Amino acid sequence: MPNSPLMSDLPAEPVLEGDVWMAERVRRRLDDARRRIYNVERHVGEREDAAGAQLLLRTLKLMVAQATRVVEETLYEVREKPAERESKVRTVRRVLVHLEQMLGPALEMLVAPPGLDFTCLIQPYIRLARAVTGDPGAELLFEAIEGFSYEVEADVFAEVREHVEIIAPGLSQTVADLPILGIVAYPARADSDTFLHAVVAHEVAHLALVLYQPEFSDSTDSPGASKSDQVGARSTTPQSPTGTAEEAQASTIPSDPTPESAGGAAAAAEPQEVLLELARNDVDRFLIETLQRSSYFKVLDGDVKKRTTRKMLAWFQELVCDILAVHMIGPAYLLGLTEFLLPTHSSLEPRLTPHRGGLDPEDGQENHPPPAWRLTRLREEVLGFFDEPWRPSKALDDAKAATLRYFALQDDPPSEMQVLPEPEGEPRVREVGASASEVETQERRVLDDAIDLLYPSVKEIVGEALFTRDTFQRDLPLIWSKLEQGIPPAERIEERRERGEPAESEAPRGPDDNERVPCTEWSQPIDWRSILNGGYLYFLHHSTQPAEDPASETKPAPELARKEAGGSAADESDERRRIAEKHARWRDRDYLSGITRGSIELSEILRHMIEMRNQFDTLNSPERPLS
Amino acid sequence: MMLTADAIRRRLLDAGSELAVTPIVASNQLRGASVDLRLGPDLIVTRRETGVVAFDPAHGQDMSERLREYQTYVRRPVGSAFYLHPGDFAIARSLEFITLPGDLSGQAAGRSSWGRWDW
Repeated sequence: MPNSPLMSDLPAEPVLEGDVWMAERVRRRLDDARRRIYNVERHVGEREDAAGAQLLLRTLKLMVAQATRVVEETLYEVREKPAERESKVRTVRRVLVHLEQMLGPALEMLVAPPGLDFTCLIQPYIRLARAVTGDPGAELLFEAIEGFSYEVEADVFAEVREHVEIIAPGLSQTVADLPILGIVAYPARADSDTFLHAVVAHEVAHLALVLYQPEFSDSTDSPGASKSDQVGARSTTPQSPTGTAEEAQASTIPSDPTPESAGGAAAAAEPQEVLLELARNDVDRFLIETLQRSSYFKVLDGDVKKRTTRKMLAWFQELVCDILAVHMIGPAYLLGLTEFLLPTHSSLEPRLTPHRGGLDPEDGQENHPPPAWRLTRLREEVLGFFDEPWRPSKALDDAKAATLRYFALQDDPPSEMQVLPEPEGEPRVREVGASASEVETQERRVLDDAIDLLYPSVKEIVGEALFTRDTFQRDLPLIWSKLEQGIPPAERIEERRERGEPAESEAPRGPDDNERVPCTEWSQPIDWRSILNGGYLYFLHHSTQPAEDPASETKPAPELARKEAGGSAADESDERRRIAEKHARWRDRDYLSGITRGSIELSEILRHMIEMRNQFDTLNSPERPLS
Repeated sequence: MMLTADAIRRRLLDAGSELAVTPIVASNQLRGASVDLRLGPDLIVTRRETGVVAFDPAHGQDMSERLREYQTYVRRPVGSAFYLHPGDFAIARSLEFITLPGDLSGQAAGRSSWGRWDW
């Protein structure tokens, strides 16, 4: 326990005598706690997520103040009631130990603030978290970590709640009433990679799952009532933007292919209660339901069953969060996740590979399903954003083609992208043979069935955070056109006309120029998720293009060049060209990631300023009636 | 030739004109023969307390390091204040992103409307 303030580390020979000395040391500990909070506090004001940080710090300060009060009262009682000295000293120690255990981890969350390039995404993600949790006071903190991973701690105040009864019993209700505060960690080294940060949506989805409470009509104390009936009865209406009516119907049909499933519910009543203990939140009950009906699951025994359930619950949460993230963010999530999980696809080149080397796309881990399967499952969701275009658009066609090319690249990577570095440390032992693959198939089938059960509730869970196909399709052509002109796509000017469209009629003129142009809406900010998707797809459109035809007119094709130049010289030339292309792609990515970041920032500022203008109506320079 | 607010507006609304000033909060930013720009959130402020008073361009590497020591990047959240005290020097950028086509040039000039307010 590195931060433990246990009294055992006190010097052997005190400067002061007895209780006076103890009181002195205790007060110094409390002063230290206040100082440590202050040291962190004076740096958080500039952070974009300052609101969350200050909420946490204010809570900690309140706890320290309360702890000080408890300690002072106890020290007073030590003097007044010597007979109870021992128990009172124990109380003081306990308060200090708990205070330290709470303070250390809480302050550590604030010592690695997000980098400048990540800043523009902070407010959008906080708004997304508020929308998806339904809590308008929800806050997120962001932490730039050295590891290459995205992580979320859904309840920062859990630590505080754990210790509040000891430190400050009077604050229990106050702490219980605090709004949601989550902390999202992202890789510091990818700070400027705006596209990759689409993965944060997955972490935000975890917040939503923690809070989501499906309407189970209860439950464990009514063994006669099968939970599968309850879950199946919840919703039969297809709500998926990509799903068909048949799919929705299939989701309500018992999924187990074997006849055993028919009478399975009653027989499995007892284990269900045991398994429900493993569930971390109500969403897990969809999987428990499905597992109960699965013949595969029934043949497992004891520990294996528990272990399998635990793993599958973890996988289920990940898969559900993936789906939620696509519905919150759009196609950019899958593209970002692909780059994150498959090192070979990072910027379509193994640019970030060193820290993710050796991750086999077919290998599942304890907490995460196999990347390849996870990514493939999301394709239908993503392609749904391109379905039923409300207006023909070349941008939409190009974006869809780029997405499909990207999927094809994932299925059949070119040889230079297939090289995966060996993992460091001990080689992994993998299950091989038919039995392993059969188990995997069964598990995947159960998970698929559980997700089918949950699927009709996806829109309900996402709530106001839903990123609709209409918004995506409306914004994409505008973003495409602006990016082609090198203009950051931040605002939608309603009166703007595309090239070739006829000019608008002259604005009515008044007696004075200032009066002729009234203070009216000029534009609306473009949804930041549209900008992220547009920028990402625009990059993919250019970077996954097949060889350009015009180039073949002026330059000999590689094969032809090889024949003309002969052997190694041609190979060298090819290699050079390949490296040049790679560098060009990196530059393109940096440029488009930057312009996407800037556009999101401008769009956020515009949104904020419009709000301010509407509130104060005096944001513009003073208007005075002209004489 | 100077463009009037009307002409600027027409060009801004025409995607083919290659003139962009984005984002514009309200249409009355276009007035007279100008567009009102706003101060952006990023500033580079000189730190006089570091005592750096001279740079030698002949030592490029050294110069960039000294510049970094001499300057500090400040980003103010939207809606918050930045105070420039007497004698301070800061470099700021406009909030708006601007592109100009080949046939136009622009000129930035300070405004004093707020300074004259209530006189």
